[in-house]
Amino acid sequence: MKRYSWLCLLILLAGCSSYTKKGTVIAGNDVNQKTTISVLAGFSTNDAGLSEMISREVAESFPQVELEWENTDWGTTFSSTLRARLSVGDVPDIIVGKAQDAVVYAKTGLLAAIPENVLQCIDERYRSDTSVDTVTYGAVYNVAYQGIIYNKNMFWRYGLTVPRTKRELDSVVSRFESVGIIPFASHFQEDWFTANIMMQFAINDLFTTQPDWGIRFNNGERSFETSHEMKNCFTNVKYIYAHSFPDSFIVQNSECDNRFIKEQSPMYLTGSWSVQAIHAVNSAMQIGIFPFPNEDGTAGLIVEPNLTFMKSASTAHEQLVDRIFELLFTDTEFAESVYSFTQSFPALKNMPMGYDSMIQSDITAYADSGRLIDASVGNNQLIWNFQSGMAKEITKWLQNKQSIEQLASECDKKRSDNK
Amino acid sequence: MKQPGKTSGWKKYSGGIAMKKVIACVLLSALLCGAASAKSSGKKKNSEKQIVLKVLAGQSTTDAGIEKLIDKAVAKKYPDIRLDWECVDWGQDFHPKMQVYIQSGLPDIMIGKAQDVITYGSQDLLGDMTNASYTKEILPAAKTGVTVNNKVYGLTYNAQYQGVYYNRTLFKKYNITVPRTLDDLNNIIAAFKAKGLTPFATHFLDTWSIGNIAMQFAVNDVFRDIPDWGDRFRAGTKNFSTDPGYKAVYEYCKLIYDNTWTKETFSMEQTACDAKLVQGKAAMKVSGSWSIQNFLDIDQSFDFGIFPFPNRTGDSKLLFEPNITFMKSKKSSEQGAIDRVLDVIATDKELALEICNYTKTASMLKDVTPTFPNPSQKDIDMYAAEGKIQDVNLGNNQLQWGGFQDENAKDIAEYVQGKIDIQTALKAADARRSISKTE
Repeated sequence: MKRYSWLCLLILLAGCSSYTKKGTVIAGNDVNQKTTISVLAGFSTNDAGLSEMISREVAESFPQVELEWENTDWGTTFSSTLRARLSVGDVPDIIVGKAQDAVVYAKTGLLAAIPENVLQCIDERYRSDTSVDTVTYGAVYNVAYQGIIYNKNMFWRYGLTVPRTKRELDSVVSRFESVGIIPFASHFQEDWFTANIMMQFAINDLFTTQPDWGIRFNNGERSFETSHEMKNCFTNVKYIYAHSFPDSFIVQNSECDNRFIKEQSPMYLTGSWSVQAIHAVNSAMQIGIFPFPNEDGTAGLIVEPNLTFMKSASTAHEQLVDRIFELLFTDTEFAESVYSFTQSFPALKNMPMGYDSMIQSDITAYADSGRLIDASVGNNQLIWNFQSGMAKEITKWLQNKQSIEQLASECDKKRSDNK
Repeated sequence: MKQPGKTSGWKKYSGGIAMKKVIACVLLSALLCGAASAKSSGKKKNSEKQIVLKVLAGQSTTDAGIEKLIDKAVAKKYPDIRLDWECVDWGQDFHPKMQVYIQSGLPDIMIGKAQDVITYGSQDLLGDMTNASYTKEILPAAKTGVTVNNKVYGLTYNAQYQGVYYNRTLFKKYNITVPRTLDDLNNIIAAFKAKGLTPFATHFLDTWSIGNIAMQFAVNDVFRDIPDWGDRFRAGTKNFSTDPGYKAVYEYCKLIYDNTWTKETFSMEQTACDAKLVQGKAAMKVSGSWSIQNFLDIDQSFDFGIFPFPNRTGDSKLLFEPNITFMKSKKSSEQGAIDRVLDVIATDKELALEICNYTKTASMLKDVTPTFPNPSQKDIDMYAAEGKIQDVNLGNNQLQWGGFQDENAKDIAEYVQGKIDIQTALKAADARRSISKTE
């Protein structure tokens, strides 16, 4: 039926005055004339398939527009691909990444401001995450929660409750190990996993009390070598490694998800992106989420602005890109389908979930008790390029190829990567 | 990776016009051919109109192969219907599969257990069979377990008996009589151990076997006294951790474990376990009639009987469980074809006899009496004559298998091995209260 609708629409368009932008004909009498909008997307594992969904959505309202996608893995190839394209002047019209990218690339002059009508659709909490000097350069579409996803049945089986302090976590870990169960699922084969859990620790243990630590680090006023908190975060990474699969350096994300689903481990320090895989295999699995405990029991669940739309400052199709953004951010039915598909959470204002998340009750409980922490506080100061390099140094340390002092020193040497 | 540009809607539509032209040509050719040869056209129509129904079959070990018998019977009466089977292990994979299909669309026909009707019927996923002609072919007793809010959502096909299978030769050899009370049972356990024999054959590698024996015990020690125990549990007036009946159930599981091959049971599968019982390496096995086929496959002359596992009050009943149960998707667009298939299944007595003899089960269809050899039949007849039989779904319908009984079974496995204490195991079941039954 939709194809017939398109035909009717195109016939109408052919007979009507053309939609123009800066004097450029977008759809003229020749209905076959296409406008191609290039999109560079840095996707996470649970976003696979989104480009097709977005293309279909756009095609329904803008049949004369063709989105030309270049999809990359955000954690490994997104930044390098974008830099490579910038270097040859091949700037994509639309960039889809994370909130932290908006801050990084806005400072380079690459991005244009997001129009106010689109910003009006976004929850105020997520606007500052993509703003530089009061101008917002990224439109946050959804959010992810980060912490320890745990198997409730296994906790009930061994009479365990959710730990609030590090000491309580030690008890939980000991209990599982006493019956031969590996406490944590992990996949250290991927640097992004190492970087992610390191930042989870840093956000709770350092940035909550020193919110400008990253800026001071850039200025040379702070260092990893002299930071007790950062070294403690390194130690926490080692803690996960020590209580995880013996082969975790050859375990990939999908394999790790499978092992968690098969109850080989009751805890998985990750984010709500893992829920998609769990839901696909066993939607009846009883899971919850809690923050990795800190010393005094005040750790909060981390909320991270995730999928973020950005507009090139040099696009030749500025108005059209704005209209596409307007479409994506105002079609609530489409937004619900994206949230359900990716098992993510809305960043749009007054937006219903549209599906029952397996970890919703825990998220609501942490939100109601004021125990949510925005990941942007750390991610905007220690940018991904730096985090990625830091993860490689942590791996060397975990493999006993360097001491913790050398690790801290190597991180300090990468200060320039953070600018 | 750079993706190639997408095919536009316009191009797709243009393709549509081109395809319509091709179809028009094909139709025209077909008409011309039809005029030339009506006979050959008729044959072609049959193959073109074949209806394919997707079937998800959650099977027990003895059910494997019945799909071929059903295929044959359906094809004989309705050659235009083909069944596309997906056969999975009921205990391991049926419920995860159903969860996936609930998201993506249910198969036209599902085959599970009667308790699945309660789980999925209460979620408004199943088609109503109340007034279907084939429902009248089922024994009235077999309908109660598949009825939700006065509507029949399942076609119960056969049933299995459950209890303690015993090696009659060993019992005779050592002059041991069937126990009626727990004291009797403890005495014969001691007697067999004194003779150097393992009292119970078990295969706890299969979590379902732990869940099964726990429910057998619970029906006689919990649900018989309080038939709505599960509902009271959900209402919060009953708890596993404070109920003496359920504590006894878990203790019976420990009794079985303490008197079996403890070093092997968590790595032993059913077939190997059944073989050891037949070979006289154990005297008894808490099981169901799904084991009969194994027993007789190993030794056609194996002489065995069955008795109910004794309860605290000494009045245990032999349990029967409606087994293979057909369900249909409420949203399927092929309701007519589904009903024709179900009609074959409910009215083809030869098929029923063949399946019951093959699976060594009792038929739930009217006027079908299996003829397979079953040395335990005389025991069954005796308990039935005394009115000492009980539908195990009294418990199964109140405490669902997926997510509850199966998780409790894992708790019991840890408890019997000493990894957790009984109170922790019982409290874990209490923690699952909200998921003990799908509303």
